[in-house]
Amino acid sequence: MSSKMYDKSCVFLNVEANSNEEAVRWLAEQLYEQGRVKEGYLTRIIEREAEYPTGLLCGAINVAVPHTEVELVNQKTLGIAVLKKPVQFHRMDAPEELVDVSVLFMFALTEAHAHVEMLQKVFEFIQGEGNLEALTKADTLEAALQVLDEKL
Amino acid sequence: MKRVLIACGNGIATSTMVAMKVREALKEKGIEVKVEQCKLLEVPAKGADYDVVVTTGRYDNTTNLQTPIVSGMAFLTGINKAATVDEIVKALG
Repeated sequence: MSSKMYDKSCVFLNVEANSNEEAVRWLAEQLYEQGRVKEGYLTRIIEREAEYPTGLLCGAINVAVPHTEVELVNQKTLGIAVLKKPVQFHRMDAPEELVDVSVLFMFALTEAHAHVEMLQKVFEFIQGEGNLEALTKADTLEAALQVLDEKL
Repeated sequence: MKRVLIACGNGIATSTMVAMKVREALKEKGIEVKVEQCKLLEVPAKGADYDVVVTTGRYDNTTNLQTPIVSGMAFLTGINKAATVDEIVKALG
């Protein structure tokens, strides 16, 4: 079940970023290099994050869920980046407020209103007790993938 | 049948999730609704045709829309979900 939700090649640990733009750009670049998104995605996703921020206040560990228009995506992808240190994102529901984000879940969707299952799985993962903690504590990619395999 | 409008930035991802969750939550309460999605930008134009608008993302009601507006963030973060569902049910009347 889980391997359909994400691709191992799109999970990254210890990602270094000093700003939310850097974090978003870096993850988007990985997807671009894999041919999963078009070049336009790189600029648009950062613009979009500025217009409609995606920081979510979840509790002890917070996430961001950057995503943008379907036209810029080649292949439906879920990119996951665990940041080396938390970075401030603006909150989706209160854009003037900042939240320290530790994990990015980047949705690259090819169809509007679709991918409900993938979205549902990701948000259930985010909401599930201990999942984010286990993911951020994983010290190797294998360990992180195991958490995702079990819980996502 | 009551109508619910779900709005988010792009109208494609978080609103899709929330639409599903709202439909499920209301069904559990025995309430059947028609649920549609749109972008936050479209709410001023469309909102009046619905019984409640559920948003993810901040919405400033600058057009003084009379339709009740409820924040749907709880369906994404899991925080305050029950209270949000109650708020929606109350708004549906």
